[in-house]
Amino acid sequence: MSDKETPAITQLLHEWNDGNEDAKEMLLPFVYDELKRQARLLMANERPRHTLQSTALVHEAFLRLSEQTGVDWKNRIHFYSIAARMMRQILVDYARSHTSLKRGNHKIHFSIDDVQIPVEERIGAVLFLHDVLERLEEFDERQAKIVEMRFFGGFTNLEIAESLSISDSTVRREWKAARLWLYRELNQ
Amino acid sequence: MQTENWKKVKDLLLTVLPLDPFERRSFFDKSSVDGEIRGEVESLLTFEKNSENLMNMNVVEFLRDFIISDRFDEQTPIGQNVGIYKIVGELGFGGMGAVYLAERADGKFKQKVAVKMLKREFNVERIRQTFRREKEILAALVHPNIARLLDAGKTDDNIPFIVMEYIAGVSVVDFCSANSLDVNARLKLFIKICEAVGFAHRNLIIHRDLKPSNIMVTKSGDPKLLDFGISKLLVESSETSKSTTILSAMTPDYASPEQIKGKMVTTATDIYSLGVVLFQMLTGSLPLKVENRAGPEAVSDLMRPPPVTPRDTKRDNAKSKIPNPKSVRGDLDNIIRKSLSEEPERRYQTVEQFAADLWRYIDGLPVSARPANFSYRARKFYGRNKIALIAGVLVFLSLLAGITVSMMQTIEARYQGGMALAAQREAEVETAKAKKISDFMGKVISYANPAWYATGSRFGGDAKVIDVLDDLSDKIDAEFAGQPDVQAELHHKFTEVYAQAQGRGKVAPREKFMHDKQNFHARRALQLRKQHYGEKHELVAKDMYYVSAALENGPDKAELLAGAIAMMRETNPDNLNLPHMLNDFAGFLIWPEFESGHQYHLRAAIPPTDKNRYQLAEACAREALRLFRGHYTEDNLAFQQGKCSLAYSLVMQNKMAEFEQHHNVCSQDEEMTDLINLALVKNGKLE
Repeated sequence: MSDKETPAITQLLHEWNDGNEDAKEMLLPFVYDELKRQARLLMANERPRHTLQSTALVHEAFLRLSEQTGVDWKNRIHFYSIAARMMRQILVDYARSHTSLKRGNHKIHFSIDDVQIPVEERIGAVLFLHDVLERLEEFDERQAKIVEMRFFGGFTNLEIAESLSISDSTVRREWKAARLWLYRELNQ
Repeated sequence: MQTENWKKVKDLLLTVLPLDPFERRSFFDKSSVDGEIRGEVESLLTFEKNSENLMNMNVVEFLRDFIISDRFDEQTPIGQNVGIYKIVGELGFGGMGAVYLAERADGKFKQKVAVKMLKREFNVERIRQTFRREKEILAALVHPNIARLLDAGKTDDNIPFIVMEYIAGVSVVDFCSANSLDVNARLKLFIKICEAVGFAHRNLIIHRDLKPSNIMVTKSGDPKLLDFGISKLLVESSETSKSTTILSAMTPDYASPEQIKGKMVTTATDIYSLGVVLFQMLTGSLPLKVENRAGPEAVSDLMRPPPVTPRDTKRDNAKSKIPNPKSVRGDLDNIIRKSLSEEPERRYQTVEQFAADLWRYIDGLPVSARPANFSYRARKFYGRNKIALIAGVLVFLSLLAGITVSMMQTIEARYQGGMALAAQREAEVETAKAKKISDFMGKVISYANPAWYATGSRFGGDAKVIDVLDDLSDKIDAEFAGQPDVQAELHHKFTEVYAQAQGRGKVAPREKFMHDKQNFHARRALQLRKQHYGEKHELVAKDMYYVSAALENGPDKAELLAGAIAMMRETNPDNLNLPHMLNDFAGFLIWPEFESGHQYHLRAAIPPTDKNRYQLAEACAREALRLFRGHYTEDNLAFQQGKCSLAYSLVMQNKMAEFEQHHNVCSQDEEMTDLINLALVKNGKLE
């Protein structure tokens, strides 16, 4: 990322923070660039797949962005929340615009075991999950947020608890409940 | 699902989840939950085992192969055709777009261009808008020191692109160090940059992102401004400018304080950035790192003398034209400090003033950036020859008187005729103008007061008339702001004064300064006149003539002069400037040193090949002489020049019989006689 863009990103982040959806639209490519860069960095230190700490990827990407831009996240609430939302948006937008995929495969359970499945199918599954999550948002926004922060943001229960100002045991229970519902919806 | 229902389901679910199957059953048995709710909860609980592994990883791990695959990458357009160009390489990436090197693909001729394309992800309407704006702005900016717009369009998959002149060069800072330019050369290069920025400002465009990497210098040493991507139109509606604000990606190191604070951005912002660039050109470093610029204290730091002075820059001291490096440091510091003032209003008000001060510095004249005090002025004046220019001031005074009188007369005439309301209003405006002019005149006359020049007063007892003129000439725009017609007329008159003043001074820098002044006022007059009277007007033609007069012999001069002649013919063929223009054009055509007749192109009627050059000169001279008659007697200098041009062109065309009728006039002037003799020798008529 060249020096030239950083103030723009700062401004865009602030504007998006204030609810300007246009700003989000413009912000995505910057985040996407940074994300890809971080992914590359991470993959350069190739480690066994199951120990891959790719949560670092999202964190790194956004931390770097906010450090670079000097965005003052008063607490980390905004940061975590925006990071997860961004990540979801990026991958979903990107998958939609660049692939013509069928809806998710019922056999995909979004678990480590699934990574043997062709990547195309996995992208389709993520798109499907996104749709299902949108339905969950309609009647339980907080739970959907927890899912988003866990899966798309890669945050820990503790971080999510802090961000949403609830106890981490609540996060844990909500997460468990959400998975039950999601599993059913994804396999219907 | 109903939100209300889900709340009940979730409450129950969260209650029973920590329980073991036995406890759950007894819980259900004891509680009196609604059957539907209980059914839903039990249905969800059947997935308890299976869902345990759901999302035991996050999306990045899950899509790892996809994220690191090339498919996630933007496809490089190298090899792709855009319009008639084929992309061959990358030049750089901005936020919204990338710039590629491209070549013409239609094989017509070899031409390298720069293609700026919007990134696929950025292909949204808001950004397309700003992209279109950049295109429109570039289209309006045709200037030798601004990278030109060549073409624009959309690719097959609907991605907008613009094609620009490709500048094979290096950044201005690199150019300075790579060529070890001395301070004056650096300043002159910088002044050229100022001219381009000034041109943009006159077109109501603020660049907003001036920095070395946007100022490339070609091998031949010509600077070119690039990247008007975030530039702003001064007259933009608030809505359009808001969309640009979102993308106002400036570069912190070069951004003005008001830009960083997100305040109103004016042309003063560019002046600030230019100050940073000049600082870097002279010292190789930035005035201050941006992180130190947050608070007011840091900004005052910025006002410290530069940590590295031009003295320390790499250059040959023996060759240096600056006799006293200490004074160099002082004046240049003052100029740069002024341009870097935190308050926009304390900076130079125009880029032209900035450049003019640098010229003054180069010429060893007092710079405006420095508060005037006696010892400073006296030091500067010491050793400069006295130039008698009372005549110039008299011309100036008579001009002012003339304007005032004619305006008064107009107004009076209108009053006498009994006026409509509109005419009355117009007259009021004219009256206000006349008042302003007479006020200005009052100031001018006060310069005649000997007290001004007494020791210890404003001009330190050592002022010359030309100093007074210099002082006045800088005030035109401020004094007559909003009255381009009056401004133009004054600039026009100053052009005459400075043109006449040359050739009398004995000091080269002074001559250069006056020539630059002539040039400046001529251009300013032309610009203002166009603004007021439109592109085509007899006064515009006259100003074009004046600008051409200040140019060196060459294609630019030829083109401008020819254009002025054509416009004058069209607008007022009776104007006495027309024969003068024709006369000058004839003189220009026969100028013996000007040998590259095929290089220029003219808007005049006759196509200029070397062969018909003299034919054209003859025609121009003849017409000039015809028009001069009745105005001048034959011993008038202009008349003689015309005759001489005619004689010369006749010799060159071997029209010896006609030549004999004219050459005796020329023999009165030594230089002209030499010229004719040269022609005769060239044509084999004289040994």
